[in-house]
Amino acid sequence: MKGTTNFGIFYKKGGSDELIAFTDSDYAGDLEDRKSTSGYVFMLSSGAVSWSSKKQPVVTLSTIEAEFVAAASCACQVVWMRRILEKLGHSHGNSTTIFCDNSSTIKLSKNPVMHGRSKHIDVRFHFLRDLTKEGTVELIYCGTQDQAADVMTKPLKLESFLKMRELLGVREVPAVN
Amino acid sequence: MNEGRTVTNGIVEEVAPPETVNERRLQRQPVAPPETVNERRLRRQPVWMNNYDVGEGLSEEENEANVALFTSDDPFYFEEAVKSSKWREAMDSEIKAIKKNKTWVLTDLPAGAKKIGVKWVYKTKLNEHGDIDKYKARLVAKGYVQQHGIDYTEVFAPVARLDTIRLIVAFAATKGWIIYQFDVKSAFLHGELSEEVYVEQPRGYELYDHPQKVYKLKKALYGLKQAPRAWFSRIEAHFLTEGFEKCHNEHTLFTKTSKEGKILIVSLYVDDLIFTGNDEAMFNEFKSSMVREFDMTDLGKMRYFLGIEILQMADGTYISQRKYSLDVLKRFGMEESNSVKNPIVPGGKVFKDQEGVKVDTTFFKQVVGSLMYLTATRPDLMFVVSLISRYAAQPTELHLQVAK
Repeated sequence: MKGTTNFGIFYKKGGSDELIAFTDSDYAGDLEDRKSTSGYVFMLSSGAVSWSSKKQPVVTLSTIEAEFVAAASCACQVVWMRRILEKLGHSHGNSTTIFCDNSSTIKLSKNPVMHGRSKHIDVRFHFLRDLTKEGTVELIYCGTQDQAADVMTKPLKLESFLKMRELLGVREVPAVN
Repeated sequence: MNEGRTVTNGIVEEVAPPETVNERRLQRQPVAPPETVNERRLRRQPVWMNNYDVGEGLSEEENEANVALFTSDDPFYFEEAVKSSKWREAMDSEIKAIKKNKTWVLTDLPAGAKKIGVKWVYKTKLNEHGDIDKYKARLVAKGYVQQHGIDYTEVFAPVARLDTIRLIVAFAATKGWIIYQFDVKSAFLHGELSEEVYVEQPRGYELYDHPQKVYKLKKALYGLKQAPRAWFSRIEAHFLTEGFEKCHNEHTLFTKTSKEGKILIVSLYVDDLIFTGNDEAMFNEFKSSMVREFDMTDLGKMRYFLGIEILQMADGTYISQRKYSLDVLKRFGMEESNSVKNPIVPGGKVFKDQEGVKVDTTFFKQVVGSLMYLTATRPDLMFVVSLISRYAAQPTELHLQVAK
């Protein structure tokens, strides 16, 4: 922390006014109770506006499930942020994009497939599926290296940590004269 | 525990039967009463609160030593303050402001009603260079004697979420709008009370011909439990009459759109408000209406809000907490620490350490809490902070090391 006291977030003028979200999870990250960590980041105009890193309230049985839980909590935030932005006079015609690095989760959000490993997933997490159907959110695959929410869920190597920090729009604030 | 043991040591030794030997030993080496956590804990305001007047926590029970932590050499008692002319002037001007504001009316205390005490709080205000700006005396009500359901009913006043603030900042940045900031002077005094509250006459300003009379409050005083709420209802009502629309998902966000599609966005955080938009005329109209209705300080461009520094430049906006993070380092004695590039060692494991040396829970919680607020502008630290906060109940050396 000491080395970075003058770091802050930079919001670029005229940047993209599209709200995008990243979601990620770290499966069974807690050694004690094997609960996973979910994290999400919202980006607007080249800077992060909202983020969270939380231990999930439930134990999940698979990575997909952990990702699914993370994506669901992210979707709740999407709904709220969209309403606020609407109030601010920002029109978003299309759905908000959530980037997720697990393609099975994306499939699960689109199709009500039920199979052995996902049939037990709780109703409230199917909230996400509902929103996808309505077109409020859209899950899109992105590779781990572009996954801004990665930094919310696991300790990273220095190199990737620096890269993620860049992605979040965190940089040194120029000295004020 | 010492009840009934008024006998002196000598006598006890003579007559005591053998089985009380242990008891006697206990008595001779009195064990210091265990300090409770609360006693040891210094009530300190978080650094970012320094700019705010809080409605609560002004009780007399706060012991003097703790108060001295943040009020250096300001007087604590009326008797002290009244000796110097600068504080007398300050009290005069406060009483004048209260009268001008039509805060109260003199009346008899109705039977069965309770009056609430008031007291003076003195504070030397410094400007940003650390020089003395003015001496401020504030009359506060002893709100802590108020009882729920009798003296007040609702106390909740919403405040803006940091998410919203950041969203507004980011949104304004994309549009290239400038954000301005206002500060309402003595905000809580504007709040109109719905309950009947009576306060005693303030020290030094007693009316000699009516010593029994009390003041019935029409508007709130600092220290009253319902003061923040009364203020919020007041400003909310004002915004609505001005044609603002309230956001249903965020109660402190108000917007106003004109027919031409111009927009004015206002967000409120107790007595600080920020506003932005795309129409100069609406700014001016808003400013003049606010100045007419309340006592406002125009702080110009938004630069410092809730401990967050905002730098609005031609090509975008920066938000940071440089001052706050330096304060945190200083507070926990870590200015001399070596800086690291990566906040956490990859692959390092953190777990519940049963055998580890226990560290002071309070200290650990303070560290975590301070770091938590720092994540307001530092998403890259979020994971680490929430990781260590999981161990707040049973912190050990291991966790403290990680926390650093």
